[in-house]
Amino acid sequence: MEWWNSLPPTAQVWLGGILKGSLILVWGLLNFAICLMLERKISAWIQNRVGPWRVGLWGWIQPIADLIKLWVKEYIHPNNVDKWLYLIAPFIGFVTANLVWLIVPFGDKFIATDLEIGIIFIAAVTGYDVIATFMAGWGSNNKYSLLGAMRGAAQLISYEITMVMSLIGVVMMAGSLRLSDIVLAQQERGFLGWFLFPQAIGFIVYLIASLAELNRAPFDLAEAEQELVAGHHTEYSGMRWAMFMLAEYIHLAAWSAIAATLFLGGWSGPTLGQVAAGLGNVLNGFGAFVNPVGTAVADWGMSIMGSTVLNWIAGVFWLVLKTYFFIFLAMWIRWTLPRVRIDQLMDLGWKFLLPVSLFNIFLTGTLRYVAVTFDGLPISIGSFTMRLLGWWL
Amino acid sequence: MGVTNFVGEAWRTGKSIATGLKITFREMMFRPAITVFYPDQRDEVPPWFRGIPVLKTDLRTGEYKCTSCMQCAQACPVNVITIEWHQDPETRKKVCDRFAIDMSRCMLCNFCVEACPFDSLVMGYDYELCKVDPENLVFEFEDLLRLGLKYSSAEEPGPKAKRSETPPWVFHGLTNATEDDIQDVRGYLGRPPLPKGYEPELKPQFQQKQAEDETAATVEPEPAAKPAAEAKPEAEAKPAAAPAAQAGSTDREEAGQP
Repeated sequence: MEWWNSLPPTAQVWLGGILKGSLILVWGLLNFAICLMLERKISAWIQNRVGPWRVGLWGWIQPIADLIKLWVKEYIHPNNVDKWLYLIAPFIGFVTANLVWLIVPFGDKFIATDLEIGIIFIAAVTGYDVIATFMAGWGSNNKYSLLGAMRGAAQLISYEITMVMSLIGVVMMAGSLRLSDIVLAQQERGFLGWFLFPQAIGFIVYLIASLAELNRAPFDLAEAEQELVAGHHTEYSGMRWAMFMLAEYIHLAAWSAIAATLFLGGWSGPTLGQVAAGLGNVLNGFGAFVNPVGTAVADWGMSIMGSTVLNWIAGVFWLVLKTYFFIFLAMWIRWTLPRVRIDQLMDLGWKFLLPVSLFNIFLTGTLRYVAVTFDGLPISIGSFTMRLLGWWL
Repeated sequence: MGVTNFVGEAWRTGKSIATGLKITFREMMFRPAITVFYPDQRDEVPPWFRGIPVLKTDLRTGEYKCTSCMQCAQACPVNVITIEWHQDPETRKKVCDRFAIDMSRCMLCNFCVEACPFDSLVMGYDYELCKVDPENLVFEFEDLLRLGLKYSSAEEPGPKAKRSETPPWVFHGLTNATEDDIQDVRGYLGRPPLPKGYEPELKPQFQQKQAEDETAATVEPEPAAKPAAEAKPEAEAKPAAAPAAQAGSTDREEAGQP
């Protein structure tokens, strides 16, 4: 740390940025490999197959083999494509997917960039994804690509609004757009004070809207392989095609991390020290029969409770657990539900999800006003109700 | 669309989604995989499976059962059966010089088997018919006889004209016979038709069985039919198929989803 502080501020910014960027890239690629494998395995299990099996133990090295194969594949460059759009599009998609990871808090002050406007940043960055989709579709000069890109753009723009509206409720409760503040607000609410419970409506709307944002089934209209060959990436091959896949899965993982942060308390969860202290307390019979073993365990727990590194590890553990819960949910939904039509998609987005998310904002605001206004009033009849409301909001 | 309708529709949608998710979760967690790990394991084919059409042999003498009557070549919709024959001046019977099936064009329609009046053709179980060189896909007489050995049985002596007794949707009785099961001492695979009164000289192991049969045949009305009737269950009882099936099933259980 001495060495780090002795560096000039400019060097600190640049070195830190490069370091954080590299770490996030590696983290994203790691998540991609795991997600790809999970997707194939879960689809296989749902369809009573075994999935990839030959490469490595139970086929778990398959994504690496896939990537090597795509890497050495020929780069096919069709004659009539719009050259620069065609070449740049996959990389824009890849970069935007990785950008989301910048603002995910992994632990207390363990975050790449703690933006005050985190949620607006999410909305902005997921908006970039439309550009990649549309560049690919337009630049390919192919009717299927263009159709896919048009659908993708329409879908992403419609659901962008719904998604942000569904997050407003969380922002109203936390009183901040900063993601680390949102996690701390959930911690302050006590045990299981996740925003999942008071913001159930917002959570469901966010879940549906995010699936649409990610172009995942049942909303994968942009690359509906039964109608449009592969949608916007029909003309791509080799590593450029892999970039779209990378972007899709990194985006999925990032979206899951954001959902975990906003609705499931993010990195908050019992740390090793807390678990050890609790275990020691149990061994001591909650003070009823204090014994040396229990005391030792409790003391050890208390001593490591303040350790930053251990708390960070616990934070990463809980965040990854919650993230993969959402990833599993998305895959489960993908292999269960059939694809919706474009008109059904628009109906759902504009006529159902948007009104519901607006209603959620109204409900949150009203209840919060009631809770704040009547907080602490000695209303004998409604005392229990008020307390419930107080916990609820 | 009133509010009640709105809420009701949302509720029904959610319920149906939950039902679907429940079903896929059940399939994922509690149902074993049905995958057969193909090159390591092979699934059993059903008795009505139509693989390559092959030629049967009379295991009593080693003669092929084909009489070069050209019915199969006539029946073939894609003209893949080529038969060349000449008449043996001594036995006055047709000798098949060439019987070739071009498997690159064969559509496995079973018409040749249905047309065969002498129960000589049968649709085999063999389905791995890939060749590196497409010219090798023309299966010649000897190949077809060799593949057909495992569906062959010893025939009772007498007139040949006899259709298969099995129902038309069951194509073959697997006997798993090999060349060693040809009973005649001078018999060999692909032996041309023999003169009418030919009595085969049986190999010792088959002779003994024949003798046993003849001692036991005092009750039986037809001692002549014995060798064939005896050879058939003996060959069928060969346990080659059963352990393979067992091994396959156990392997599949082991390889189920983790």
